[in-house]
This record gives sequence, C-alpha cells and structure tokens, in this order.
Amino acid sequence: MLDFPLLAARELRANSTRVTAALIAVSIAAFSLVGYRAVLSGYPQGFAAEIRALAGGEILIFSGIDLLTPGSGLEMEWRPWKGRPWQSYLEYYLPDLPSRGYLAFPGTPEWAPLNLDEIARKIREIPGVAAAIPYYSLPCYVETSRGKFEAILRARDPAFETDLYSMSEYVTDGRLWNEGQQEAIVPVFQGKAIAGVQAGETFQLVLPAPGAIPGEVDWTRCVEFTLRSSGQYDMSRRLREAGVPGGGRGVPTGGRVPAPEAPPTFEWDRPEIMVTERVFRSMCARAGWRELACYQLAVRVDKMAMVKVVARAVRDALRGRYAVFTVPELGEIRVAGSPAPVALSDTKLVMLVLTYVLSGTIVCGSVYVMISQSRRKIGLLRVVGATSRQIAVYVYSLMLWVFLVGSAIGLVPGECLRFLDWLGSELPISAFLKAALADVGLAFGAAVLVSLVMGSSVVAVASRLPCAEVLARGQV
Amino acid sequence: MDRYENAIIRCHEVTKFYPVGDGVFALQNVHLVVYPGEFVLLEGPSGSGKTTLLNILGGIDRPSHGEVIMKGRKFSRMSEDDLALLRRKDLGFVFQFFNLIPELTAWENIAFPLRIAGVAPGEIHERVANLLSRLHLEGRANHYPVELSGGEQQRVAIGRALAPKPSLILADEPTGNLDSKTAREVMELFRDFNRIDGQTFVVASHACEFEEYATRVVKLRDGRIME
Ligand SMILES: Nc1ncnc2c1ncn2[C@@H]1O[C@H](COP(=O)(O)OP(=O)(O)OP(=O)(O)O)[C@@H](O)[C@H]1O
Ligand SMILES: [Mg+2]
Repeated sequence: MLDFPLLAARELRANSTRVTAALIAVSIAAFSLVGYRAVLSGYPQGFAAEIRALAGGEILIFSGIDLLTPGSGLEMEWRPWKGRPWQSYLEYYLPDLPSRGYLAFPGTPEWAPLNLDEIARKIREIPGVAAAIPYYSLPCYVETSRGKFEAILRARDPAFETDLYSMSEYVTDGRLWNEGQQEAIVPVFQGKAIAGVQAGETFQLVLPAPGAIPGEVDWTRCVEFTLRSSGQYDMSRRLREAGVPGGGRGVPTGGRVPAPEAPPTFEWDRPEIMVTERVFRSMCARAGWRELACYQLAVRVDKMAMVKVVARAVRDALRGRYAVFTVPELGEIRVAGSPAPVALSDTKLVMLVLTYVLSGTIVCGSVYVMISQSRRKIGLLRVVGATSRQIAVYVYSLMLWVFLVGSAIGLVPGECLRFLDWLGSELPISAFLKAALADVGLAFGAAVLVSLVMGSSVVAVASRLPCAEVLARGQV
Repeated sequence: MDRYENAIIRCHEVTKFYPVGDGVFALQNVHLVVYPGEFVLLEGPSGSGKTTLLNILGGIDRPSHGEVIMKGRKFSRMSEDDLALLRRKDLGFVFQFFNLIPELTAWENIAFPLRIAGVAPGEIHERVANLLSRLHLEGRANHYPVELSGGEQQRVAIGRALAPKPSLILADEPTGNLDSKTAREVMELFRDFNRIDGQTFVVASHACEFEEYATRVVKLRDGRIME
C-alpha cells in the first residue's frame, strides 16, 4: 500500500512546476497558522513588567461596564461615569471617561463594587489562572511640613509580592515595608517623591470616613494616622536604565519600543502610597470603614505566553457583567486614545480558516488538473490491478504531499518568527520547543484534515475513472 | 466437453458496435475459447478488431453483446473493481506502446503489480530477480523507462505482465514498435515462457510472419473469426 504514496511523491517531484502555486498557498496557510498562534497566545514574560507589578497581575477585571464590547450602536446607551479616580486604574487608561461617559448595553450593571465571590466562582476553574488579587484603595491626604498633598492609599498583600510582581525592583531609596509596622512606600515622579517624603521619614496621612452613598467618602469625619516611609518607588526606573527614549516618564505601551520621534504618550502619575494589607485594614477600621469595596481585580496567569487565551476564557466566563482586559491591551487603548472596541474577535481565526480553505482549493485544483492530464496513467494502474480504493490512496497521497511539503516550507519562517519572539520572552527553551512542536502538529493535522475533506471530490472523480482510459491516446 | 470446462477464458457471441458515423461493428459474434498452455496468435489486417477483442478479453472494454467468462465468472456481472482484482491475479497485459509507469524503475515496474497485490517482499525480490535475468535485463534494473531502448522497455512490460504468474497474457502487437530483429527476440521470449513455463498467451499481430511461434492461429477479418 506504500507504493501509491511513493508513486505520488515521484510524480510530484517530476511535475513540481504544476504544483508551485499550491505549494505557495499551503506554505502561506501554515505560516499564518503559526503567526495566529504566536500572536494569539500571549506576550513575552518581561512584557509590560512595570504595570503588571503595579496592578499585581496581567489581566484586569473592572466593575460592570461594557464600554469596550463591540456591538451595534443601536443597542447601546451612553452612561455618565460614576467611578472615582481612586477606585481603579480605568481613568488612567481612559482619561476621557469622566467627561464623555461610556457606552453600555441596556440592562448591564452600573459601576459598582465587584462581586468577588461570584467572579472567583466563575474563573476558578479556568486553566492558566494562577491567582486573583483584589485592588483595595482609599483617597487620602499626605501632610508634612511642606504642605498637604492629595494621594491614594493602596493595600498590598505581601504574600503576593512574588518575583514577577514584586515592587522591590522599583524601590529606589530604602526598602519595602516590614510586615506589621506602620510603614509605607511612596511614589517618585520625575525624580521627586510625593510630598518630598524621604525614606525613614514619618508623615501624617488623613483618611476620610465612608460617605452616605456607597462609593462616596466623607471628609468631614476624617482620621489622621502617622506612617513611616520605608522607601520610595519609581516605576520608570528600569526603562530609564534601559535607555528607552523617554523612558524616564513612561510605562510600556504595548511591548513595542517607541520610535525615537514618538515619545511615550503617557506616564504613570498615580500617587499610590502603598501599605501592607494588614496595615490598610486596621487604618480603614479606625476610619470607620466596616467593609471594603473592591472595584478592580488583577488576575495572574501561570504563563505570560497564555495571557490572551486566559483573558478570553475569563471574558467568556464573566460575559457581559464585567470588563476584562489584559494589561498590554489597556496600554494600547490608552495610546490609541479612544475606547475602540478591542475585545478579541475571532476575525483572525476566520481568516486562518479561509486561508486553509483557499489553499485547499488550489491544491485540489492542481491535483485535479494533474489527474485529468494523466487519466491514461490511472487507467494503466487499473489495468495492472489497482482497485478504486488504491486509486483513492494515490490521489490523496498527491494532495497530502503537496500539503505536507507546503506546510513544511511555511513552518520554517513561522518558527523563525516564533524563535525571535522566544528570544525576547525570557521563557525557557522548552516553552519554545513545545510551541514549535505544537505548531508542526497543528499544521500537519490541518493539512491532513483539509486534504481529506476537500480532496474527497477529486478522489471521487479519479477513483471512478475506468481502466478503458488506458486506451486513450497520449503519454502515460 | 471436459476440455471446454478447463478453458482459461471463453467468449461467446461477442459483438462490439461503435455508434459512430453509420455505425461500426468492430466485432461480430466472436466465439473464442483459450485453453491452458496455448499460444494463440490473433492475426488480421489493420482494423479487423484485434485490439477490440483483446480489450474485451481483458475486461478493459465491455462488449455491446455477448459474454466473456473467466474462471467461471461472467465479466458482465463484475464491477470495475472486481475486474481489477481479477486482472491483478489472472491477466497480464503487454501493449504496443509499452505503457510503463515513467516514475518507476524497471525493477519497480515489474514489482508493481505484485506489491499492490500484497505479495511478500521476499517473494517479490525473488520473482523480479528471476524475471530480470530471464528477460536479459539484469543491468537495467535501476533504469527508468526513458533510459531504456524500445526493446528493453517492452521486455520490462513483459516482465510486469508475467510477474503475478497470470493464467493468461494478452499482448496487443507487442512488436509493433520494434525493429524486426528485436521483434523476433520478443516473440522468442514469449515462446520460451510458453514452452518452458506453460504460460498461456494470446498475441495479436497484423503480420503472419510470427505464425511459427504459435500453437494456434486465429484469423480475424472485419470483426469475424475465419478459422
Ligand atoms: N473507440 C472507437 N470508436 C469507434 N470506432 C472504433 C473505436 N475503436 C475501434 N474502432 C473501430 O473498430 C474497428 C476495429 O478496430 P481495432 O482497433 O480493434 O482494429 P485492429 O485490428 O486492432 O487494428 P490495428 O491492427 O490497426 O491495430 C476499426 O474499424 C475501428 O475503426
Ligand atoms: Mg490494434
């Protein structure tokens, strides 16, 4: 039975010009497959490191807004923005939000604290989700001899300060807090700490009491605390050290190194004073906050290379009730400056399928032409005793060879791209090898599938050719 | 009557009509029985119906009327695949224009019917080596058809027909494309396989010069047998 694949291979080698177009089409399809997978799956590990450390994860979930969900404008309604800057990072990514409001589907929840239990229940089982870290914060004032400064008090759980997400890398002066002490780290913007608070210095911090309306605060009943600064943190430090143009001000905007003439379009200017979660809770309790509302949840994934896949799964699991973005996506939204729909669409997948269908059509066409030009040979094979099944094997072999060789040609540049991607990703080589192997498997699997499905019509024609075809004039 | 039952192939009242122009009767009421060990020379001028008859005997073409019976099986009741399986084991073909598979070497061409029939590799090697030596093709085993002379190609084609040890070999003007010396060599090969191995042949030729090789001559004129 191996004779027919062999015969097909020899025939293709002898007639390679006839299948050139088919080979090109298939190699493009295989290349697109690798590209699609590489693009879809995630980001290099070091990608958007600063903002991920700040947020505590690489996927952010916000309260009931749909503003970035694509849909027909007819179904959507404008809503005024009811959030507060201290509640989440949203206003940082979408500066126009307070003035312009947002689009939402009627009936979807308003801006409100997240239902953490519900979210936890829905995303717990998603593969690739490593942890979910709630964002707890309150507005505050810092008071020193130099004056009174607005800021945001933010809780950090030291248990979640692991390598990729640790603030320690960004501490420029002093150190991170010591658990159990009334210590805070304060942000540095353009070389200056907020309120000029130096490491080791103590300062007064004023927290408001909860307001009458949920989400509002009451400054008339505020409470004053004394905190010691254990250190300063500077989110731009690494970029500045790496010599990224304008790196003194910015946070990565989506993994692309900004062109020299295009300085980073935004800078991290959120005056977040960070304390441990225990300190935060005790302070809140003293200020009269009985329960803490959470408006932003950071999700950590097992592998950065899977961020997009996991984000999509989270989005599906929470469909319609919460907004889900990867950190790099948010960066892109901020750069684009408009709340354009960015929900991961399946257009790319559709394009990929179309590419395969197209290449399948070209392969089938080429093989059909080959078959109809060698009807006599098929007649001869029948005379020598080949059954219609064996003719089918022969024709399928012709198609499979074109697909396999074409896929192999397309995989070479595809894997080169993937390799470059890996070089910049800090992932172990095994991650690259695994992905590359999966590419090969998928490309060949798709090749087999498309040949079998689309080739069946050509096979049907060929295997029904009678042996009397051998009597036709012309060369075998 | 016993002898009749022993026949390798029988054709009864075979008529082939081509509805072209006024209509052509390529064969009319042809009755032919071939017995084991025979070397039948099917002789007749051009257009007398030799090719048509051989194709019908080989199940390549179907008669307009009449029946061909081989090993007790009626061709009219058999599907294309049934006929293919029958040819694989019991019928060998030698064409005027060789009809070798150009992508396969001499060795592979001869082995091909055996391989698709699933014969064990060891046996294939033995049979092909044996045939190559008897056809004086030892040095040509790895040559592709384009690298062979006409006579060599025809000997490869004969090897391919003989390889499955068929009950019957049908050869349609196997010497038609060869010079007279090479043609004689081919006919001598046929005779040797007929005499030594008892291989049955039906060979079509428009010339009567080969009558000496045959055990029986069947004359065809205008689609009729003139015995
Ligand atoms: N496909 C066809 N359509 C119409 N007529 C045909 C066809 N094939 C053969 N014929 C006719 O049938 C008759 C017998 O043809 P056939 O090829 O069997 O002759 P032949 O004895 O083999 O001749 P030659 O020695 O030239 O090969 C001829 O008159 C031919 O014109
Ligand atoms: Mg003829």
